[in-house]
Amino acid sequence: MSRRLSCLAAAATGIAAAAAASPQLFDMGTASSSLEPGFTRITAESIVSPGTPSGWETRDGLRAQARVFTNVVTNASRGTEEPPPIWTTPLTEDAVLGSRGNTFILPPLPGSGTVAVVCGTSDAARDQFFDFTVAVGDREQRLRFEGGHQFRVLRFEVPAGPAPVRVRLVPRSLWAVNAILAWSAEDDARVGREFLRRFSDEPGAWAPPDEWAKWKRDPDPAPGPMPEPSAEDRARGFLVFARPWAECVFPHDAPRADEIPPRLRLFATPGEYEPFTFTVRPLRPLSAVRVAVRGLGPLAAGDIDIRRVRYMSARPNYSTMHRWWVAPDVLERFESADLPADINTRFWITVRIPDDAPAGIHTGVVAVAGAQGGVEIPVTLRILPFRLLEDTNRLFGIYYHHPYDRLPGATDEVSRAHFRFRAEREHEDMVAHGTRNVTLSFSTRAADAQGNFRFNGDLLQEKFDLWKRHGFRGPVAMHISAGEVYAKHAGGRYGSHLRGVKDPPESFAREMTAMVRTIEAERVRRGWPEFLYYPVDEPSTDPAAVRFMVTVLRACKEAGVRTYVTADRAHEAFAPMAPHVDVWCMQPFSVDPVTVRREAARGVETWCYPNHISGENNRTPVAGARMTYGFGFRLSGYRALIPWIYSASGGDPMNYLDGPTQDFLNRHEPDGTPVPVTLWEAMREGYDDFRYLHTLDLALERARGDGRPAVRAAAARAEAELAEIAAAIRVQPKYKHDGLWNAAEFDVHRWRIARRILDLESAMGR
Amino acid sequence: MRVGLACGGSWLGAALVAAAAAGPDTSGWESRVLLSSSVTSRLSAAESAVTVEPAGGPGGGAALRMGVVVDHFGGEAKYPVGWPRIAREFREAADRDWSAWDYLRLRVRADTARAALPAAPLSLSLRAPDKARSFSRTLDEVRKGEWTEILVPVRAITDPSDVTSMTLSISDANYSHGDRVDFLIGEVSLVRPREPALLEFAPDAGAIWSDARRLPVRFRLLGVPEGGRATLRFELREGATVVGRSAFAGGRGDHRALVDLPPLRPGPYTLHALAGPREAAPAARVTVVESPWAPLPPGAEGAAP
Repeated sequence: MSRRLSCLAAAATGIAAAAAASPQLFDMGTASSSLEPGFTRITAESIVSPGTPSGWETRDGLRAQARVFTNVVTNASRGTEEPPPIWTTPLTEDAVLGSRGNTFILPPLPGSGTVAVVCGTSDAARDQFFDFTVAVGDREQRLRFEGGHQFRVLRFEVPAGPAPVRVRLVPRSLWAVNAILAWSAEDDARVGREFLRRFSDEPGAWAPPDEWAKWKRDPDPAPGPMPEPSAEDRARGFLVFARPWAECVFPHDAPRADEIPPRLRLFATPGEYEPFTFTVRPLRPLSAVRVAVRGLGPLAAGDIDIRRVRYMSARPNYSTMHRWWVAPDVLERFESADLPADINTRFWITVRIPDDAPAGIHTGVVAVAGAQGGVEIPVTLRILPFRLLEDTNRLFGIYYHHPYDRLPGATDEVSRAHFRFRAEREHEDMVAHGTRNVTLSFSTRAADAQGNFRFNGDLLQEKFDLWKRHGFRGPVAMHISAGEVYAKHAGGRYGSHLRGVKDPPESFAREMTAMVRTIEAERVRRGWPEFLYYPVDEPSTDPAAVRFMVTVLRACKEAGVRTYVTADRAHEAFAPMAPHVDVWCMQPFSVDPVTVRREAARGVETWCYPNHISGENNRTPVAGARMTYGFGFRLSGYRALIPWIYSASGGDPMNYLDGPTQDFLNRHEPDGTPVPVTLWEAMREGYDDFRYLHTLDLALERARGDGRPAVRAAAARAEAELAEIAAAIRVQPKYKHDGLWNAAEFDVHRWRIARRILDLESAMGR
Repeated sequence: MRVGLACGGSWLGAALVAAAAAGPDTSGWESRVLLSSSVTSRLSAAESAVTVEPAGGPGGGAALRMGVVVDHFGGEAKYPVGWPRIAREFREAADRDWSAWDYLRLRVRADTARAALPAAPLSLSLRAPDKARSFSRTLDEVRKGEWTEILVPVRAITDPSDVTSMTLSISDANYSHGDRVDFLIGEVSLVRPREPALLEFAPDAGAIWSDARRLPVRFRLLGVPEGGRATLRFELREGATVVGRSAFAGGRGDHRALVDLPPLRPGPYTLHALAGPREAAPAARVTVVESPWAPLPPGAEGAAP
């Protein structure tokens, strides 16, 4: 037996090997990428051998990756210098990846200790779902994450012993390791401080020190005076208070006098989702806190979703650099946790009323239990005896990065299955939030020499199969590849917002028309919903941009289709485009309802993409989101709401400060299941407000044909109530924070509508 | 130190009575002028012309005129559809530190041959040394052919402690090419009341449940000297009957008080703020709505048998 083989055999059988000093530090990557000081370089070629006691068991299926981000990067489309998606260090800029099972072997530690495996990649790896298991000794941990720009640290305790330490990696799709660290207990603090801190939640850990020094934290809102805890609060170690869910609770907010004791009450209709929240303020560290809802009428465990509000370091605006604050945002699933002292933990519970739930008032409790004691908070739920009705003339849509777009680039079946799973879960989630429409893209190259356009209609077909399965509704804002045609005819790119556009030759318009005709023929052939042709996103008001928009929109319309433009109709610089626009989509409700109606009468629709309540600002206009989606949308007269975007991330999806812009809206669990944020839940509540209003509208419509005095009287009461509610709204182009109803008042007005529905239905004898 | 009440209930005075929905009457307030026909040092203009109108002001006095001819093709090469503007730079500490003032007051009128002004006719921008802490707001209140007084609360400004410049601008995109618009600026000033004043008094919620335990009330107290306190009473009334009340004492700033409530009958109520025997602000309307969680009447769907 050769010496190398005997060494491998020793490692495999656990025969004693010489112990190495602590810590042992290995930086995985390429032969030429930077090496973290003090670390040993490990490449895809570093195989364990008699002279090399640390390395891979085999080189089968191994490859290395390196991508360095240590400077600003150029965004050619915007013409700007931007921060990179992440900041890398020698440790994170590179990795070794494996598509087959492998083991990294290192010498035993002098005593018991810890092994940490840093997993991730610095490249975007957008089409890759990493799913693998890491095992050390008899303990294994599964790791799943989509794409690169993110890093996870898995820790394993290692007992003292003479055998080499074996880190086993078993991929379902692909594994990726940046570094492996092993150390004895006495080196715990040093390794944590010097090497692993950068992977922690500590503010700024993700950035180089000189970059983080530029970031200034905005103050938290004034917390208010802390009330004196009762003897009972002190005994169990926490206060509990309830604030309406649409009003934020920041980490140090003190409970207000009217929030104690908490009063949890809600009303809802069968099939409706309804949230309620309460907050635990620990007076000392609490361990193993659990929350359960019990005895709430017909609600089964599956009808109750318990989450806690995660505070995120966030930017005050999506494009703001070097300012941050702490914002309540992500609603992560909650089972049990230790809670630190003096920092609020808000619990966000959403119930879904079963479709067949009987009307009535039900009382139950929310039980909060910790190791040191607990509390039961009464909850009252009233279930109403009617269902909410949809207004099919209005559209609730959203911009969408479709997971299916990752399918062509995915190289393994596990990743493909993941993208399909995520798309399925996201569509379910959208439907559960009232959203049944997304933007899509029809990607084509410019015409070839024979005038033919090449495209993959089958992928879009799959998207429409999903669309249909989930009951989505058209028309579809369909982005088309105008940029490709422009590049062919004008010899360059027009850049973001058409910032570099020049008047194209006439051949451009002819080819655009031909392209739209081709796409339209394919649409008709496949029976897809109507497309609204969307050639350019957010053109600027520059005269050259407006001229180009006139050209490209006219060319689309030549093909006999309708066009879609993201531009504020109120900007008079866009006036030349008007004859060629069928759907104006703008951020504010800046067009008055009379104009909206007049335009609709001549076939021009007005849509809104309310990015100010989907994360473009500071992620906290929760009440503004509800108002935008409900009463505000109703008063606007607009046809559709379609904000940017269901979920978008740059850099690490759980770091809102890295990359050139802040991440948008929903997050994901490791398997791709959506994790909502507060704004997304608020949009659903606004959508429900809208449905309450529409249900009353329909009841009123029925009542108008009924001459009975009791019905007429009930209808008059309903009309008067609606007028009073409308008069209580301060109409605004953008509902964000100011001039809104108090967070609790929304439900009072919703109830005023509900009781008029009950009144009318009762008068009509239903 | 307790102030105001020594003057009986009149401490809030006429200014408070005028603090109606349209905003307080600030005419008697202390002010520091930041821009006017006579305060123009370090004033610059771009894509607009600034002139003085000797009798163009709101009371026949002088005014500054910012004249703009909207040009979608000229102006700055990079931004032909740009932002015609005037800006005043502040160098004196007293001009830059706004934290002891309560409002920025702008008296503005727009003249144009257009049928109407666009929705956002003019914008205000305030620069801070840290650009990220700058502040901007559209001045949608500006009216064609009418003098308008606009009050921007200083507390709304991101960093009022060091304002380095103030800009008034239009966005060319909001106008049509060739439009002419003139903004007459009577004065831009920092203002604060000389006497205690109650502003922005309103119930936290204009509609509440009949079994609400408390009604939160929000308001701003201004004109109270440093360390001083003013007292107020709040009453919720059903007609002439007082059904809930609370007392308050506090200094300058934003406050939230709670009015304890008994079980209420559904219907309209009014919320009153009183300084001594006098109304300190116009009463606010509160609608009380029956609670959905009250026991259901027999026979109602879902009621207990």
